[in-house]
Amino acid sequence: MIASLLRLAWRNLWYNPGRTLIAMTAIGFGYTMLLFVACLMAGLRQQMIESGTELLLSDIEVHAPDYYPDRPVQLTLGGRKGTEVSALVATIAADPRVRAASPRAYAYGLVSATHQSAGAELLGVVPDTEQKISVLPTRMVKGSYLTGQMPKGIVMGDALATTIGVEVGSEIVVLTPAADGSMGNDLYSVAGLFHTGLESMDRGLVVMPLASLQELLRLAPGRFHEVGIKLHDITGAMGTAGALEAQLSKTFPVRVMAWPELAPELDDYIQFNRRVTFILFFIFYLLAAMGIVNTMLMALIERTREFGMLMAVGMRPIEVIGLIMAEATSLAVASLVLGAGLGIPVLWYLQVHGLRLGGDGNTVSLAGIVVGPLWYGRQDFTAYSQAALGLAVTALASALYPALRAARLRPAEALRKV
Amino acid sequence: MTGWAVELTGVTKTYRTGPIEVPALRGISLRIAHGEFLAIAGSSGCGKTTLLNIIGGLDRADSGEVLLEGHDVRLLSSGGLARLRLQRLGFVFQAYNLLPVLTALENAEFTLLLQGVPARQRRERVLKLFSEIGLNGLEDRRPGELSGGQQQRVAVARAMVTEPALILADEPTANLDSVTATALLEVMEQLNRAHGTTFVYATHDPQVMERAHRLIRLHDGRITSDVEHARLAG
Repeated sequence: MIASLLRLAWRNLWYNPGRTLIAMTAIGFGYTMLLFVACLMAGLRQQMIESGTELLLSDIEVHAPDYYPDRPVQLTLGGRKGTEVSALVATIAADPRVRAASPRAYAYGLVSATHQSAGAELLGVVPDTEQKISVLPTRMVKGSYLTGQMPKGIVMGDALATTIGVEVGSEIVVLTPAADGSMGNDLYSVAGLFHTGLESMDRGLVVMPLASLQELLRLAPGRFHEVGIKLHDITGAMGTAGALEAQLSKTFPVRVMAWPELAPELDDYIQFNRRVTFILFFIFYLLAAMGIVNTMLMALIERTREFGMLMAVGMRPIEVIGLIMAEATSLAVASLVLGAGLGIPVLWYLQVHGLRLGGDGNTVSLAGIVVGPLWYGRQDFTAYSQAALGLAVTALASALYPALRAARLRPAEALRKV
Repeated sequence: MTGWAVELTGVTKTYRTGPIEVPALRGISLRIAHGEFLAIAGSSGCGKTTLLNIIGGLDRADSGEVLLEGHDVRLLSSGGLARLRLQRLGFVFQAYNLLPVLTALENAEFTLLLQGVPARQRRERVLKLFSEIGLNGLEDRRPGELSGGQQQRVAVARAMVTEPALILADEPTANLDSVTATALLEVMEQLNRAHGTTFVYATHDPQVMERAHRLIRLHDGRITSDVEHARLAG
């Protein structure tokens, strides 16, 4: 019975193929647009997260428990005694979810050249391992990145170099409050300049070898502030952070934070992005609902006599509702298939080739994060399924009113309709 | 359950369009026995179709009592009425009213489908009926590919295939040539004789009136005559 009604519903759809094709194309194209939006939004989220965690912020960071958010220079991992750097990094790197880990130290100081000075964040890194958790070494525009053979070398943002009037090869003085309360200062040589596109980094970051910064801050070799971690799959960052914290806390107190905690503004943007996607979905559902209601009401007006006959020969009102709902479902399913068929090459193109942001090929800074120059899509099958389900529910809900109207028809009156 | 297929007492029906009231039935009382072959005749607008619709539960009377196979239709919901029509009634309309997207066979078996009869039985019963009323070879044609007479025969098959107790036919021969009309009436008479199916026609067709066992004439919503046909009564 149900199969027969579905067959009848499908054939009824094609009794007026022009109208059905128009409705199907509209809904199907709308679904393609939803796939397009969902794919681009997922790509943007992914790109934002990857961009946000590829320079300074890591997927996960390990600190002393009270280090965040004030980041006092004396609060190092393992307390005043510190810890064995290589052993800690090795322990972290042994986790199969971890792709790479590297120790870091931070401070704020004054960077001075002959005539100019500027405040900057000082970052101490182990160059070899740092390159595995940050793409900063690939953003050099002049000179070269740090190596183990340049203990007094530093790299800085190109805007900062312009501000204080230095070039590659220039000497600068760095002055900073040390961990023991004294003032640390030393002379360094500019090995290279980087450009990230992020104003805060290009104008305010100086990177030097970890040992140099420890020396400047009067920190022992085992004292540093952070282990930055890059994961194989960033989507599991929160869970991995919790597991690592439980494991590492057995040795000494640590706080392991994932990027949503470290960069709440980025997480806020991700949530905002999801809400915008949902709103776009909702707008489309409304448009689709209007299209389906219109199609079904037109069909009802055209087929009033037919519904009268169906009820005359014994079809109950509930079965009339079922027939119209089956027609709406058929229309929705066929439209989804059409929309998905149109959408697959679009999704493939977005994922493989991406969209160029602007015509000049430059990157774009969004919510403090650098994205581009190409905006790649990312397959978000959850969103695609939600869109399809939402559309199916919309179709059924939209057909309900015409169906109820049909079920309330009086057979004798309906049969009189010409 | 009474002994009557249909029992109407003091049935009235008035159509209202804004302030205009058009009385269609003015106190019809009528009893139709099981197995009758009855025609209701009268000029256009006399209330034939309205009377047929009220008997079949397609419309509701303003007042009066309507018993259909002993069921008081006033007490039945629209769903209950539909179920009663499906199980006990068959309809034949002047305009055929076939589903354009279904084949002749699918149209004819539609009421069986609603009854939940399995596909194989549906097909067997329809094919048997098609053979009796001359629709062999037309099973897979859509209504648009059939002549008017063929379409009406499919509509008759749809009404007959459930072997209902009562068939209500509204001008069934109006769009048919005389030969086809005669063939149809013979099939209906045969069903009436073989199964005791009650037939009630609303008609202008003299041939139908002549073949009917009982002829009721309506005028302005009232029964003006109700006679047993001499040929059969005798």
